[in-house]
Amino acid sequence: MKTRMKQKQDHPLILYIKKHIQSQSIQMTISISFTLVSIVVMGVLGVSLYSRFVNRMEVMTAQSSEQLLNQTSINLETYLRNMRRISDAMYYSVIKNKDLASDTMDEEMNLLYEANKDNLISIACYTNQGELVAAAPVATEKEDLNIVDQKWFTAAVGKMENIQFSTPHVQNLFDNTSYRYYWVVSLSRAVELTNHGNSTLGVLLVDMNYSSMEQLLNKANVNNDSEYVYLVDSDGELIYHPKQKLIYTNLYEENNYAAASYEDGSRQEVFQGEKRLVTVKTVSYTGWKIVSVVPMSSFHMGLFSTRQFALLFASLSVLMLIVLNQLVSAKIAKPLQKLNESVQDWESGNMNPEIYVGGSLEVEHLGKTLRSTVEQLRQLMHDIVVEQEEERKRELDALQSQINPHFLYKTLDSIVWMIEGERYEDAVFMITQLASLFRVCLSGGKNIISMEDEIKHAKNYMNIQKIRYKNIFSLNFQINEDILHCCTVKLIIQPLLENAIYYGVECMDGDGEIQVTGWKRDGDVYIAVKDNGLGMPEETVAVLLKENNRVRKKGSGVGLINVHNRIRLRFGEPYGLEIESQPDEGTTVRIHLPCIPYSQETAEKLEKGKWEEGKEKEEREEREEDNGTE
Amino acid sequence: MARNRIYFGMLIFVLVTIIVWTSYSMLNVGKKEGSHKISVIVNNSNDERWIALRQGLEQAAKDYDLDLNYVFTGEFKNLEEELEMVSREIEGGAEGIIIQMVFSGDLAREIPEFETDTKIVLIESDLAAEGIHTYVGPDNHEIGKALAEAVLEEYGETLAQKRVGILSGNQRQYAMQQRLAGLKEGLEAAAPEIVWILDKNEAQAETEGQAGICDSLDFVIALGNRETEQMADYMQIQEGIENCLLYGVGCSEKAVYYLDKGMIQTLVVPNEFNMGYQSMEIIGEQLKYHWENTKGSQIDYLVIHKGNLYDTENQKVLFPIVQ
Repeated sequence: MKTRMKQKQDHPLILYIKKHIQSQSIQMTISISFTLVSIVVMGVLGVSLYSRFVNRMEVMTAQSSEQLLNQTSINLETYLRNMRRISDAMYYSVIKNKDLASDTMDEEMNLLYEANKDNLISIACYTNQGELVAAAPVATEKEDLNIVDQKWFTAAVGKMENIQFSTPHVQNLFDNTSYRYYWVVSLSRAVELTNHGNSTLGVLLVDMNYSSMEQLLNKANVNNDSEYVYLVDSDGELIYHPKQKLIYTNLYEENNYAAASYEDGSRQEVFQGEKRLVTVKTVSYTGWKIVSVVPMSSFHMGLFSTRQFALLFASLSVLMLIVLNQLVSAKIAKPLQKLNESVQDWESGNMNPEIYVGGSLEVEHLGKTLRSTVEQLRQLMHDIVVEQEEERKRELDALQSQINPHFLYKTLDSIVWMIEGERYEDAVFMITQLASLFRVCLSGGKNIISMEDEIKHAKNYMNIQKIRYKNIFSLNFQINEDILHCCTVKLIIQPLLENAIYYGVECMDGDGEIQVTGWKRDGDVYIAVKDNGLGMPEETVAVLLKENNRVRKKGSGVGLINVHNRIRLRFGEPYGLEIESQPDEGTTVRIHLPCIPYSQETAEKLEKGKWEEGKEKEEREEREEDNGTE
Repeated sequence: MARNRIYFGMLIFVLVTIIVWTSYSMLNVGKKEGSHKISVIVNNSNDERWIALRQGLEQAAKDYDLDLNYVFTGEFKNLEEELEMVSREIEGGAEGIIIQMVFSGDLAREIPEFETDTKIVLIESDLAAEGIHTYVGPDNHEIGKALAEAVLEEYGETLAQKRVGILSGNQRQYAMQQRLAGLKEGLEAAAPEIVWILDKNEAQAETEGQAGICDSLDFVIALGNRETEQMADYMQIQEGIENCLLYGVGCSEKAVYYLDKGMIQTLVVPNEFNMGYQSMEIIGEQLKYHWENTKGSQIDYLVIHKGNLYDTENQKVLFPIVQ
């Protein structure tokens, strides 16, 4: 069962939809969902409303057909009643009161005919042998007529108690020299004729003008081309049809025989593959049936405009809902998108992002919380930076403190040595130089001094050393003036000179040379301390600036690393010391510094470690500008 | 994302298209497509023989929503006059023409080109080169033969001794030529003596001249409606020719009346209601569906004598319901 459910869940289509939805933005997901729901709802609503409308229309059409039939039936019954009255009047008021032996009925018959001639073709009375008794209008009877075989005659004689209505036929009684033949519906009845007091059977014939009846029924067929009404007798024989002639000439067919068997009311039938709504109404007196036909196809064609309207309404509704969906989804999703953009900005490294706060209450709360979090994080980072700065200062101070005792120890040792050797002048000179050196060294407690002071400090130091070493080496300072006003970390040249003396020229018996050069290149400052001493192998040079591989021979052993770390801590990784040495050739130690013009303000900034931050910021701005340009 | 936008755009496009289409359709609801104008040209258009034809034309015009123009015409004198009438109707904007070619026998092959798309349907008479134009009408050759059969039925083997006159009608019309050929073919075996064959103009002169053209005849066969009426009129006023019988082709109420009166023995009646209806129907469909139908339609005919004149089925065809 579980497997089946799993399979069901894993259906590719569902997976695709899930994946598709998951990979969408919020706005798109809301829009698609709302739009789909709108389309489905409008579709279902449209179809159900349309179906209800169609059903209602069918009912209304059936009712309308029944009303039409009722009206037509009333008109037809009125017409037929009038015809019956003519027949009744003729029979009961005239024929029954006349004895054919002595009386004539021509005058009354003519009067009746004249009064109703719009609807009549003729009135005639025949004996049961088919002999003409009287006729109106007066006309010559055709020769060789066999009246008794005519249908209206046999029908009247066959059912003596009733008035008989025939189907339409061409009258075949009188000679019409104007070559006219009339279509009539014969109303015939058996009558009692009196001749010499004896009753004999006769037939009274009222030939109704079929055209009058046709006109009457045509009125029911003028409104709609597809809906029509026709009339059949009780056997299904056609009495009237709007396409009667076509049916007579076999160009059209009608389901009239089946309709004759239908009960009154509406029903659906299928005739020649066409579905039709048929309504039947029986006419009084005659048993005739009026049939209304509405082809369902035409009915649906009539609904074309309704269908169009339903489609238009549904489309407009869906379109409006889509627009509304877009607005609503944008209203919901936009604040989230903006918030997301803020987070992306933060992610990309901007530690001071503008966090969006807005939109709905929930999103606004989220924004506020995030902003607060960012603020807190920033504060935390600032605290860490400050802490690190403090840490660095402490480290610098520690390094600095490594120098001062070392140097002091060395110098005092030399002075003691001079005094012991009674070289008082030298001792005074040295103490003077030491005082000058310490003045520079102190520098008001600052670590950043001008290059000029640093050089002066180096020279003081070398003056002391030269006295101490009795000028066993030569010294040469070549410092470009354009670097004298640059900033430097104090006490960085002196350790190098110290190393040059100790490791380079101390054992050279007067041939030692130490050269200090300073120059500026590509915006950076370089100071090189070069000796022609013993030099070092390459592997020694390689580990010289590494913290854990100090080569301690003489002195404190902290000189080079101390200087190197101090420069890098202050100015960054690209700066510091570079050492070149060849055994028996000598050693060159090069200080690499950024060229920062010295001023009180700059010095203070550098003291606080701001130079690196400022530099990083500049670099980032440059990167952003480059990206923007791209 | 971009794909979603495309789908969304497509959906909007579809919706807007539906809205535009439905709006346009709704605005055009009730506007009827202009109905096609069809002109009908027959010889002597007010002749009563055309009543059934007109009823058929009118019914079809109503059923197929066509604009019927039943052109008033007199007696055509020649082919040119008739063709000029056709040209005039085409110039007048007729999209279809139903024509009874009175001088169809004069045309070798086809009606001269009118350089238009006007649909032409021939009624009653095709051209000698059959099948070029759409033709709706009876098989005239068969009508001739039907008349011969009626005569044969009446006289049987004695027909060979009978003398016969033939009113051949307008022999410049192909239909009449066919009827005459059919009649001759039908009579060929029995071989009655054909005393005379008078065409339209000769018959006119003879019957008006009161000459005793039927004096020694046993029967006369008239191949056209007019000839049948003409001969019946003539025989009605002539004395001493009571034994001369008349067989004819006709569809007018007058011809039927003469049959009813016993003056015509047998009347062959083409179903001209169908001819009118079907010619209009075909031309209507040609215009509506833009297809060429040169096949046309053959209509039936009734062979009526006094005994079956009032048969229910015959009544329905023979007598027009006139309001």
